[in-house]
Amino acid sequence: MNAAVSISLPSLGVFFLLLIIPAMLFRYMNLRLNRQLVIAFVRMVLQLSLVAVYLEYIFKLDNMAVNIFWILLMVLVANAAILKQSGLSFRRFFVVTYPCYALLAFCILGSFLIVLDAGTLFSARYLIPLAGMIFGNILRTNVVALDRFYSQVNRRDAEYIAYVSMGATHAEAIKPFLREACKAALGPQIASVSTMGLVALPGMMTGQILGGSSPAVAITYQLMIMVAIFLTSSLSTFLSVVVSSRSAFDGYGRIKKEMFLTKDKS
Amino acid sequence: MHTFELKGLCVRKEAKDILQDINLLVRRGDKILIQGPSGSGKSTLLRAVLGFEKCSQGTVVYDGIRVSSSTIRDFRSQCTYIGQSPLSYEGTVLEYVHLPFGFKVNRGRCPGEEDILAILQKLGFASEILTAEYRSLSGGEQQRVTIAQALLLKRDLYLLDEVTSSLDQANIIRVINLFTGSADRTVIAVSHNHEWRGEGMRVFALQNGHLKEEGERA
Repeated sequence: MNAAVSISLPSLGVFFLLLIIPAMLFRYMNLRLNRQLVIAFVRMVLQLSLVAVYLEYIFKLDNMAVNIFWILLMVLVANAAILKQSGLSFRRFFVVTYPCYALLAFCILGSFLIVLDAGTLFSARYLIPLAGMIFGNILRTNVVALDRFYSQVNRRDAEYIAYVSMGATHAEAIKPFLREACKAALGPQIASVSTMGLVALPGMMTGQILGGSSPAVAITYQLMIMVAIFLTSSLSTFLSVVVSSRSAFDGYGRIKKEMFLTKDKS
Repeated sequence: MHTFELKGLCVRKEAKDILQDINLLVRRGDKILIQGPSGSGKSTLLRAVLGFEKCSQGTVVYDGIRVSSSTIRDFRSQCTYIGQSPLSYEGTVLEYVHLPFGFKVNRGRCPGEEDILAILQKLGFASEILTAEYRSLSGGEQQRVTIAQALLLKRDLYLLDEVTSSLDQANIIRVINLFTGSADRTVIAVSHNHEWRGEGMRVFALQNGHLKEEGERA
């Protein structure tokens, strides 16, 4: 099979001009989204250009220490994004959530040894994209779970108090809220797994096919990554809620208000 | 628990004094009714007793022990709090009644079906109620089942926050009789229902953050 045909920059630029159509539609409908649209696409171009430059460099270097540092950095960015979008204070939760995510990242990457040999897995060309795919895909589930868990504990605090006053330990009292948060986060994920290939062609598989791999090879990689993503999503969802909740309550079982980002009142 | 006391309890929220210098001595078997206008801090007082409201000043003492983060679990294990709205739960009434007995601290104390039925019958239910879906019950029925569940825990101190607000007259009387009928049971009830102002009740009024006793009714 041949590698993907390269796209010339001028033709890519012309392709970008098609974005004028949704921009005009937004303007016609008075959606006030054009500023966000421009910022989002400019950011995406800059970020992906930078990724192209540093991945090129990291792949060439192929040094284990650099790879591990890169993964730790990736986990840090994911952790910050999850906490910020869930309305939790990064400064206060980072100490407990970061070790948990980092440990999970290395365990999951280590589990790839079942299907890939060590030489292949630990080369930057495999390790970095696999880690990126996994941590890029757990953001949503973790944000949904944390957001749901803390909003419910705050809203239904009488229920939490009732459980504690019935004799429940902290872990027992948060269980109904944890169950609900995991259900809300992982239900849609299971639905997307079951429709995979029918509704949308998975990105990794498409990329590999365009890159010259046979569909059979591309599918085995896609199946492997789907298992890894689901494993990471479910474990990180559960762990992030449990671990963060240990810091979110004081010795009396009261939720600490200072652990949450104050919402802009405007 | 033989005595429990609130000493100079103050709660301040959003720059507003909700409770000011609350002093209350409760002996085993006391039945206390706290009344006051909406927003006067009655529910906050019950939550403060259980340690769920941060007190700016004052302490809660039980049997000479000051309630702190290290003793709060022991103190709470002697109390039961019932709020004005019942818990949401999926399962039968029997499973719901068993819920607190699944917690580590209550394991091995699970009541038999006869005891459960006896309490439920005192609250006006027939035996078929045990197999009914808890969610299919009306709000008032769920509240009475929650009260039965709390009574089966056989704790020393009951903190009741408007537990009869969603009940009809006959059931209000049933519930009050259950809580006030036993000499050993210590009860602190917050309620708007005048039926609570019965014999042997110590009635307090909470107004502008201050708690004042109206005098024991004989």
